[in-house]
Amino acid sequence: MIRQVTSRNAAANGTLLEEMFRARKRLFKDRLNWDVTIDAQGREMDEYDRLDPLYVIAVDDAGHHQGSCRLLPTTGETMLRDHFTALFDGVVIESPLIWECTRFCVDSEAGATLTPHGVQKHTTELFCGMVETGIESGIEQVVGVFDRRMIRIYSRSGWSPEVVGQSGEERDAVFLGIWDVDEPSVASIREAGGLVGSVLEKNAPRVQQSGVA
Amino acid sequence: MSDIVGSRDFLNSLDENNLPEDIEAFLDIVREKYGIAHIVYHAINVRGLTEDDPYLRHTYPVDWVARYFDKDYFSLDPVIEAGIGGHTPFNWDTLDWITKPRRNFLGEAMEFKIGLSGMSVPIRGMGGEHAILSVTSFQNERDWNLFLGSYMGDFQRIAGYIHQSIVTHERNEPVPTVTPPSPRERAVLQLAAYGLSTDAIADKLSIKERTVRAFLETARYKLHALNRTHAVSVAIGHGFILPPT
Repeated sequence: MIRQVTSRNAAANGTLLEEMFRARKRLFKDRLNWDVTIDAQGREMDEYDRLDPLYVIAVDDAGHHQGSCRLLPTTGETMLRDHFTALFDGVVIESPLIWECTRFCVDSEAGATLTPHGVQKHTTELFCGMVETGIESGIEQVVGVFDRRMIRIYSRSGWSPEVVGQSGEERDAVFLGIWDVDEPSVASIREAGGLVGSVLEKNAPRVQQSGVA
Repeated sequence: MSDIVGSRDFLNSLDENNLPEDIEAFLDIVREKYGIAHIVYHAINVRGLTEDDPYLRHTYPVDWVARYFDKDYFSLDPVIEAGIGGHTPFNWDTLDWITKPRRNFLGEAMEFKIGLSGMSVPIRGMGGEHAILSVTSFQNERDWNLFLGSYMGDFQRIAGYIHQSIVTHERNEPVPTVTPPSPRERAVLQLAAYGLSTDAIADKLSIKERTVRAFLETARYKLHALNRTHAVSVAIGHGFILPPT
């Protein structure tokens, strides 16, 4: 299931957020060797984590982190504005209806259930959760920067970006993409990932308590 | 509720010719066209607005607002607590109304006919700039949720527009300080001014359709406009593009 964590419910999700920051360290620092900052507690955090972002987090049945991403409106500070304008001919995307997605992270230590298209189930769930969340917030598009390894994952998940900019070549290439946030995207992701119904935890039917109250 | 059908057309029909300059008049029109109970803009942290007192523009009864200030409900109201953090819209029924002071507060709001349901859209700018637009309604829960499902995007656009208008007005800027669109956004706007569709613009500029929409949406926001036509006329007015001949 997908949980939305904001500063409104961060306190109740302290452990989950800790798991997320450690998973980000394992992926972005240990595996991909990105130039990211790790704090004394072994967490990967940056200044955008201090801007009250929305975290869309895939959790298992016990509520542990399986994957996550970070969303911010493009009306405020974004990584795109601060670091990646060169990817887009100097254009700074800026609108309350367009969000930036960063720090897309699927925990490789999590049990890997695969979709019919060979993508980790948590990955498609995250995409679907992002689109569902965007729709309920009145959002139209998501922008984000990604590397080559993600292209196949997007396409197999039924949610391909329109690539609008590129920097670097071959293995070092990074791309800027635009995704649509709409019902056809939800349908496409569900189809590709074999998902049925909403992935958002809050929309899930309440578990019936057994026994007599 | 009778007017709700066609509200999207309403938002897209607005431009400089029929848009009231006065923000209170605009709030009244939105209230009427969307059939909502009330609409209120509250600046939390906005340079030039919030240095002295809380800054509100609203359609609420003045007695209610006087009472709200008098009792300093700012520190009690869960809407403000929720709106200060985060940037996603939230339905008021997800907030914590359990404590006795808050239940009393809610009871008083009912007496002033503020509404049965509510929703807030946080507004975020650069440098920690922060405001909230809230909307209330007397619709039942089901209709309210359907309404939000249909019009959340409208209220995101309205929230940004109200915020930009108020900031421009309150700072007494001689010329509205729109952000000049980049050359590529101008190229897209220029073709939109000639009446080309999104697909035709994409064809003409050899860029993709989603990129055209992202450019037009960004230009709309930078130009403090409510829709594409409005953005084109603001861009022409500022000399960013040429009028169609």
